[in-house]
Amino acid sequence: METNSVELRNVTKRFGEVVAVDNMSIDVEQGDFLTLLGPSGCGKTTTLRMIAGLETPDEGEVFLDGKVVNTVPANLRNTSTVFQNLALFPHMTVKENIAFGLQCKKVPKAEINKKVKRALELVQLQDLGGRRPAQLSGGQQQRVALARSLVLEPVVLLLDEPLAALDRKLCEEMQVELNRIQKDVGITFIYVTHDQTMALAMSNRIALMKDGIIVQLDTPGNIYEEPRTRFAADFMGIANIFHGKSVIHGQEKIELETDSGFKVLAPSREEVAGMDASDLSVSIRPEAVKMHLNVEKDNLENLYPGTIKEHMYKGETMEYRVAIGRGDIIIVSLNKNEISPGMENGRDVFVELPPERCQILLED
Amino acid sequence: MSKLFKGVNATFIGFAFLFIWLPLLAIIVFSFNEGRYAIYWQGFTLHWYYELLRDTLTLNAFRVSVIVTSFTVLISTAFGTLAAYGIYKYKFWGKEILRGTLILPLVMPCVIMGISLLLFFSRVLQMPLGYVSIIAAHVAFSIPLVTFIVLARMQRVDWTLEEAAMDLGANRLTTWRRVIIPMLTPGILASVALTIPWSFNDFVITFFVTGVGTTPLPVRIYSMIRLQGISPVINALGTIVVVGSILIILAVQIGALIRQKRAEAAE
Repeated sequence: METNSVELRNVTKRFGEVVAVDNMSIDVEQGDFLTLLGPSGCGKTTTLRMIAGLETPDEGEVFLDGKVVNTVPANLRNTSTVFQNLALFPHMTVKENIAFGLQCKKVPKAEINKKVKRALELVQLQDLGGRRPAQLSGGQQQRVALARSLVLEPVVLLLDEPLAALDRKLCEEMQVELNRIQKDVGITFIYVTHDQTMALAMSNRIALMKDGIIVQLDTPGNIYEEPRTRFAADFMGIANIFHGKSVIHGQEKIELETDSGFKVLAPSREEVAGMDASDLSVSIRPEAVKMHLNVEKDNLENLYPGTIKEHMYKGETMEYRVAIGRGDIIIVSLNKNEISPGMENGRDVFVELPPERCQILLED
Repeated sequence: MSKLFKGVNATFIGFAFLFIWLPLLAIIVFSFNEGRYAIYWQGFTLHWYYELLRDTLTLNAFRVSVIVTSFTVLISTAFGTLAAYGIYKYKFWGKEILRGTLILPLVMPCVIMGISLLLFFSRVLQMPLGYVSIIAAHVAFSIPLVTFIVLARMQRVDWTLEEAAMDLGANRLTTWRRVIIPMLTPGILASVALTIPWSFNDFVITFFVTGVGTTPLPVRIYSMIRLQGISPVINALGTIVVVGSILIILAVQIGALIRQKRAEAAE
């Protein structure tokens, strides 16, 4: 049985009155790319720092490679952190920065030189060893920070939103780089971010966090396709979320009455099957919503009259904002071949929410 | 900037420079003067410099000053920096009290400090006055100076570097040596640059805690003036100190310039 790289068991951390991390448990396997995703203040950075040894848990245990490390100080742990501001030593060259950790471990000089050289090759900065951090571009500094941490061959590499300061294109390039390097080296990565697109792009598992607990732990595909709670759906950028209570609660199907009064039929959820639940939400993706100018058949489920308020051209699709019910807006995304002439602002239409595409969301 | 403003500005700066430099120039010039009284030029001579070399009391006083200042700078820089670190990074009971007490030596009148220290050494500790008493008194004043200067520098330091160093495996000592001290160097140098002149030139406090045989230079000069009147030997001494200081500062600046040019050439 292979031990997990990192394990947290019932870890709690308080700062004064505030509980930053609340009884959290998680296993991270060797070679995983796990992202801790969540809004500011959800405890993701605190969790990362407890793994690094920069904070101590108030309760619970932190395991590295199967051993408890609560009392082991940061400089003796086999983890390495890439900080948000990179924290490159400004008074040292790139080579000296990378060599720093090895020198602390008293590795012989010849071996240090070899390892530094290999690290520079790994991040493709071979010719820049003699420069100072201030003389490098943002992307290059990123890579030095990575090399500096990787050269120590840690059990797990911890990354605290290191791509936050980069511009869009560079950020995407670095994401590809990070994945490539991780596959090359095989080290476990734990990444902290508030940006769900980054999390979806890079990770093989996402831990969505809120108020110190893990709300959903799953693969990117599952979290995006099947969010468990309203918060999860909202955070992943899913539009069309309506809160309400169940009026018909079958084992297979639920009818939800939204707060603004319209009723939606949707497949039931295991957690609330057959139960009267008053704190639920329903969501549907804009691409799944159908829009009709006229309605001939009247056996369509979840059909609502509305008015087009706005539309936005998005290249391959057109996005419509349709007002229905008492002030709700549904966002509809149509392909070019789904658009009929006449779908303009002010036009009265019917929107159809196919029940099988609707998802019930729990409240957390 | 209008021309008039520039002109007025230059004039003021000119006067400021004159105000500072004329007395010093006068001392330098008259150190080579034949006559005893610095009233008019009587001829060039190095006589007073020879007198200075034979004046063992004064030379001794110079040695005492150098020793006292050296120890003061070393001790107060070390303790002041550590104090600044403690105040900046830690919360502890009595922290604000400490901060308040630290500023006292800087604002208290020197005479009061001098007298209290004298009473403390002679009555409370009942120790003889000598190197220890002078250095202790100087350190008491210098530590607050160093602490506040280094504290100010610490506000501008990126402390994630300290965390990064520890995360990479450095223990406290290595972190201090390779990361924290290099980051604090400008602050430490500034405090050294302020402590040296203060300690070397201090008269009032030193006067009270000096013992026989360990007379620093300012106190010696005072005695000379009291006993012998103003002798041009003092001018010679003053000239040496001024010129020496200027040379040291020039050396430091040239050194910095050379290092900068080398760094630029290396790119």
